[in-house]
Amino acid sequence: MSLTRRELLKTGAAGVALLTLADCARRTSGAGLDATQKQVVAKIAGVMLDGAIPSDEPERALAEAVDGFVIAVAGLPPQTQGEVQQLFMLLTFPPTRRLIAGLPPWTDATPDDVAAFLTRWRFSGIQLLRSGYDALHQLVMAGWYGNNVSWPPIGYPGPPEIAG
Amino acid sequence: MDASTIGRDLALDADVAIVGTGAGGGTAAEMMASQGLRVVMIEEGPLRTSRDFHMLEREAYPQLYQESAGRRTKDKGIVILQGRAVGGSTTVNWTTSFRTPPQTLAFWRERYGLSDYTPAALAPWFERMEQRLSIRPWRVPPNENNAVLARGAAALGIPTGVIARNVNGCRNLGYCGMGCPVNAKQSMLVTTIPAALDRGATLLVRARAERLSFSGAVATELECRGLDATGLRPGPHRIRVRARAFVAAGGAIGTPALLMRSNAPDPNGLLGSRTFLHPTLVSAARMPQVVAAYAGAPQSVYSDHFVAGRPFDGPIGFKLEVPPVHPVLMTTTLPGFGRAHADLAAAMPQTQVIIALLRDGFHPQSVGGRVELLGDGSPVLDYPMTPYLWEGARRALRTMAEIQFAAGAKSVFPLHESAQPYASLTEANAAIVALPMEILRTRVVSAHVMGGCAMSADPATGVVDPRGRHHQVENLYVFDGSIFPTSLGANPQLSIYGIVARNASRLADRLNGGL
Repeated sequence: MSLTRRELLKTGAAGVALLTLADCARRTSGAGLDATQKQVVAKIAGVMLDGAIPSDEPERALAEAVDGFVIAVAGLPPQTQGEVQQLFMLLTFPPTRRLIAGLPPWTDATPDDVAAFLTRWRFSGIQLLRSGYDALHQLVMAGWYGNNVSWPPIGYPGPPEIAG
Repeated sequence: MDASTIGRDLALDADVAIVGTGAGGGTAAEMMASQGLRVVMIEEGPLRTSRDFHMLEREAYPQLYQESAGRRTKDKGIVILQGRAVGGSTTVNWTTSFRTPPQTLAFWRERYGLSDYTPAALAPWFERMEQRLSIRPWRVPPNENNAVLARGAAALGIPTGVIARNVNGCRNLGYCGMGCPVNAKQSMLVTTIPAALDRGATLLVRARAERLSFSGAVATELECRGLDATGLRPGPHRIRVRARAFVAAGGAIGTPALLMRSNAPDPNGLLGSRTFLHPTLVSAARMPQVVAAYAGAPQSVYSDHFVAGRPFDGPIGFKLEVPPVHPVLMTTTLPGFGRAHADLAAAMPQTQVIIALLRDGFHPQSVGGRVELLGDGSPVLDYPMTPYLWEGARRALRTMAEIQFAAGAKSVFPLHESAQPYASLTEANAAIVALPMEILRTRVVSAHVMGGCAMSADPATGVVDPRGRHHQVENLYVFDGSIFPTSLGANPQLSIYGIVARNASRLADRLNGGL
């Protein structure tokens, strides 16, 4: 998919207007990530942590990665949590998901689709998209590598015992 | 006193109200309280002590850091590590202690009329705080992460030095950044703040200083808000603090923000401007041996070879140090994802990392950033990276790669989205020359926020005078890193301790002398 900067700005403006409405509707339903958003996190984390998630119980590990992501978001100040919500709106609202993220519906998205989306944003000429990628990168990595189940594969022994 | 559980509004009266309990607020609190003054300290973060410090990133970052250690500049391009707990950044810093570099002080005297900021005039104050906080050169052999910096530099004829640290009975664990679990680090949390409390000071935690009110040229009252149980959002109760003097010590983002929310006089439009970061570049090497950069004193070796004495009107200088390498800090900083990222992470025990801190704020093309307020009153720092800074970034990445290869690295990865580990210096240099230097491509981090309430003898170029007193408000003082008119070119804690100790002692004399 190719999208010029100009097209993005146009789509972006319309997208932001719609997102603002969606965002207002959402405020009444409280903070935190909902079930759909958690499915998106699972898809993204599954790709970002490919090679990191242990192969013996991958589903359970991925669920822990998603929990870690949710907890990481909950620790952010309200302003930043709002930005994360906007990012998820953009990723799930069909017109912006298609035009800006270049993704099919999340339920249909393959790991290759997700990897291609992440790569596009990672190297995008548009700073805002790079920052969106970077936010996902930071939250996925913090959510997973804060968990001690991630440590044996990277050779980190964990904190030392403190002798009395 | 925890303002999230007070259950009612409060009104407090004091001689001095101090906002923030980091290096500046903590030092000031002890000086004031020990002179018999009634002190109230206001801290937005929680009170956490060694019993809470389990050396776990997942606990420490949300509890002890601003924005869960994910604070960023406005364009998201620079990650900023700043403390947010009793003790401020001193609770989580890596204990590195340098006196203010003489070259920096000379610049301040010349450009900002800070005539009594000489190494000799400040020496007694630095000595006093070095004694108070057990600051001395680290006598234990460096961990391998630091040793690689020393060996690589030595192989190239680059001098290095041993870092002084504020520790007493240090067990060399390596977890200073998550709160010292054995109270060895002589942070404000275990030194000046308990001492101030012993002298009758009051400490209010989880209380956000919202605004000061003024009557003419006098600050009259500080309005604070207790936070809710999460510590992230405002709760229902207000705390009003009346005092003879107000000290802003909320750090170089928090302090300008408090003054901006208060509409403090700012006739020359200086407030929040010229904020500096020591923008920091990162180079990761894979060594043949085990480095275990997660263990041992995080910073014990440095090199000032590329900064000290370099002319301010030339290319930007940088200081070389190393960071601790823990799982979250490492994996969020390493670019990429999937297999490539997992392979890098899997080499954690062999990973050695050097950082280069750019000395910003001395050149016309390095004027720093600006603190702005968002709709909810919270601050954000707009810090544009300029071509002048990027030139230094590129040079720093080359230098770090050279040192790492000289120390025997098998590969070096200059942290940039378009880079990868390179097996030779030739390959690394060829890549670094061509890397696009742009935010959110080149990894840039900061742990030192300075400026925004610059100190100057001349009100036209400073928010506060050389004593830290606001130029337009006679009983408002700024006692933290925001008074620095440039960056320091060195880790800031000892500069804050020494300069604040002198200014706080002058303020105590003034208050006790009845003006």
